[in-house]
Amino acid sequence: MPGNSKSRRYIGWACAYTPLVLMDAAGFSPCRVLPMGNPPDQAGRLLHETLCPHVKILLDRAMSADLPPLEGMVFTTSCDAMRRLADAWKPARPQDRVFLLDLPTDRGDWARRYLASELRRLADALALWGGEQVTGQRLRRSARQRAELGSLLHELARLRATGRLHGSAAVLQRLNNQAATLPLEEATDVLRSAAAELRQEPDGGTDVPIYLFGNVLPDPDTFALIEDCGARIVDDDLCTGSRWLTTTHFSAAGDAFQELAAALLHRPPCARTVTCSEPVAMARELVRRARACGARGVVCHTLKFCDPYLARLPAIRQALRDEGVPLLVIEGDCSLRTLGQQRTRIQAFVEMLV
Amino acid sequence: MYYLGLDIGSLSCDAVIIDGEGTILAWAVVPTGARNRRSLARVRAQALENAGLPADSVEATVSTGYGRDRVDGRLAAVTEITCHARGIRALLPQTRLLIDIGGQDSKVIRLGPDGRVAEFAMNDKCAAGTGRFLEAMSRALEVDLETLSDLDMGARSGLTLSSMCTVFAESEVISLLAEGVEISEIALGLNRAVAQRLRAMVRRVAPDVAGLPVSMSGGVAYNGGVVRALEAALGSAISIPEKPDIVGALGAALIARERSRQVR
Repeated sequence: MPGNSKSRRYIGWACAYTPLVLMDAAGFSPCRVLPMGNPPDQAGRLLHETLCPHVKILLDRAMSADLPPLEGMVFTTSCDAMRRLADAWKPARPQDRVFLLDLPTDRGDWARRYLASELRRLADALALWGGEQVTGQRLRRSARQRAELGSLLHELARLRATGRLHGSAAVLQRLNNQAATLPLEEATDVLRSAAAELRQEPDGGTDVPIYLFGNVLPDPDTFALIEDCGARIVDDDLCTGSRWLTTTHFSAAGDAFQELAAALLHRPPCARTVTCSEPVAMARELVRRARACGARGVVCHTLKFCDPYLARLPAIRQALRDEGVPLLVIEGDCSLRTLGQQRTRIQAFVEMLV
Repeated sequence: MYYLGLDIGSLSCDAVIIDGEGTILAWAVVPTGARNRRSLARVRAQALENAGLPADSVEATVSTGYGRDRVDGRLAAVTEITCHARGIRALLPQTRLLIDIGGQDSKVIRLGPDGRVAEFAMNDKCAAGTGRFLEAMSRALEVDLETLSDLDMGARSGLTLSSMCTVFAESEVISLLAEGVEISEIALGLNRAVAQRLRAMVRRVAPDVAGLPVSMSGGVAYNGGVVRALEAALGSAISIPEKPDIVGALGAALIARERSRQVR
């Protein structure tokens, strides 16, 4: 969570498709509201119980006033549960401004043009919320800063995968969480220091390399638990891990909104983004990345009731089986409690791969 | 050299002692109860007594089961999935698919030609279809577990239970008894419900069971009714070792022997 600096103006966000550079360029500090804390016990008053635990925990945090001071909250229509969260946020926190960015599900030209218009609408809204006018120059500067943040995170992940980062994968996840919540300059400083201070000689570890795949898994302790079972997470595809930060390159003369829209649509996709012409593209990409990082197996952690991910699982299971890559699927609710129940499965999976 | 395998399950603690050749010298099974450390000490002492060995004759101990991390002085704690696979490999080496139904969870393990775990599925969130489920049902039917095993004999068609939740199924059984439904029909319905649940797990790890030698371990393998229902559901005969409840502990003992040699 960010500090109490009064000069900062925070805007909350919840989905990795959120255009952070736009919020930076408008002079705000984007702060991810992470699903951390106690199991939800209030969200059921506004949303039904069998709904995505990510969304329920965020709503619980809103209803419990467990948030930093926010100028507003930006949601995306990334999935139906996230739309419902945007609806429920209004009665939960009537004082908050809420913006819902409509996100296309495919990546074609029409989708890019539409998303660009949505981004302009967001820029206008941010101006009404007291933000700066978003210009191409400001966007380019923010993109450069975000790119540096991304490079640092990438470097830390690389160090961790090769045993040259002091500490477990929990350390890396803690840094990811800080980078997603702290003001940009502060986050960059934290990562710079970590890259310098946590570097070590290769640890020569013999743990089983695994690739972690799924959606929302921010709790550092869950990473410690997985590694405690004898695994080493050598790469991940999580929206709270390697996938949360979009790198954007703006040209000198192009339409910045069109370019930002293209960057968002072509970022590493989550299960909600479908390439209609290639329905199994996600499964194929998963196999490629698991092979590239030298993983002996794939652990898929998906949230309960997450229909987009559950719908992709049969194709993923088949693709991995065809390639002879073992897969373990575990369902969770963003908490260590449910993962602890799965400890035997994770440990047995690792024993299987030894 | 002697090796000890300890399986600390939710319903029972099992111990197996083997010699350097892997031959079973003795075994013991005691109820786990509320204090598993005490049961653990008892089962260890009983196994040693049955083998006629002093405690210090054990070269290495490997623990398994949900209480595996609570065993002092162990060489390693290994999951029950790996241990059951190792144990069944020693007893029924032809096995390629192992169904283990224990006290609080059930597992389906597909074994490779080398006997190693190739894939597994596990039901660990609810007691439906496990030993606890059958215990609750025997309570509702007012019979002991041994009687429950053959209670389905003579049933004509069986009935379909609408709930597999242990709590709701118990209520449903009580209602059926109140309606005067034959007890054998209820027992057959229960066995089929367990078998259907297991069949779904089997399909996850082995979409086609045809030709795969299937075995069963765990205490529920003593229940002939469940075994018959499973055989019917899978369309495949199921082999059962003489002592299915000590397969996990045997696997742990065999792993203790292997790892001890690696250490030396």
